[in-house]
Amino acid sequence: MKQTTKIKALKWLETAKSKDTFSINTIPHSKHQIEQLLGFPASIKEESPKLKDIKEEKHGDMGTKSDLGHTEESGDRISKGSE
Amino acid sequence: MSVINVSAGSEAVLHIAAANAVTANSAVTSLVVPQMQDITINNQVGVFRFKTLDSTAESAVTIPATNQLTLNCVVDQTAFFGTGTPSDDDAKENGLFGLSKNKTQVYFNAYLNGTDSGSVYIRGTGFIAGLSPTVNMDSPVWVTPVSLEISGDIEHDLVP
Repeated sequence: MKQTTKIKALKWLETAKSKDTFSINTIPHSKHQIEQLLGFPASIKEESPKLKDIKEEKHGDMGTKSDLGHTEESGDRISKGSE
Repeated sequence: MSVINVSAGSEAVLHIAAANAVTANSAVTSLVVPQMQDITINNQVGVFRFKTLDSTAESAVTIPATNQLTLNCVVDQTAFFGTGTPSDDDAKENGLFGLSKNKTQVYFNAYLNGTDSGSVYIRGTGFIAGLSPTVNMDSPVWVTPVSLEISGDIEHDLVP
């Protein structure tokens, strides 16, 4: 891919929706195809489930912390929860 | 400021089609003029000047413009004489020589900075003229000027 095309495609990707097309030498390409040509579609797919996991863990931590505030044996509960 | 730079190569591109303007939008269906050496787009606005007795300077009004596109290119056998394939657009089938000889009306897209989405181009319709292929032993490759005599207005647009 030409450098000028790459620059235009990257700029286009910033606002592109999934149904949009980007033409290279007048031939339309889908957003997915452009991402593949630029070489970063796989990383996007892998990142999204990880982000979900992180969010769930955070909710869990918040719940245990609120319980811990009312008990004296907080250290034991943390170790049990984590196991 | 945004400079239009063609140093990356294949940025100034000319598509020619005989069927319609849509055919000229595609590099596959249109005749893409290869090996261009330079290209010039002329939008010569006509001016009518007149003098009046109550003024020390001329007045001027515009009259319709003369639009023309000129280029020089190395003669490519297929682009110049055509593919000869009847299923191709007439521009591709007959080539620049055939279009000029047959006086075929053509639609053109002249791209200023590539043919990708967001690239700017000028479009219009006209007739191929001014072919004058030449060669000599100091420049042993056939080159020819091409002029496209534009009929009507020219417009600019962005590649979708």
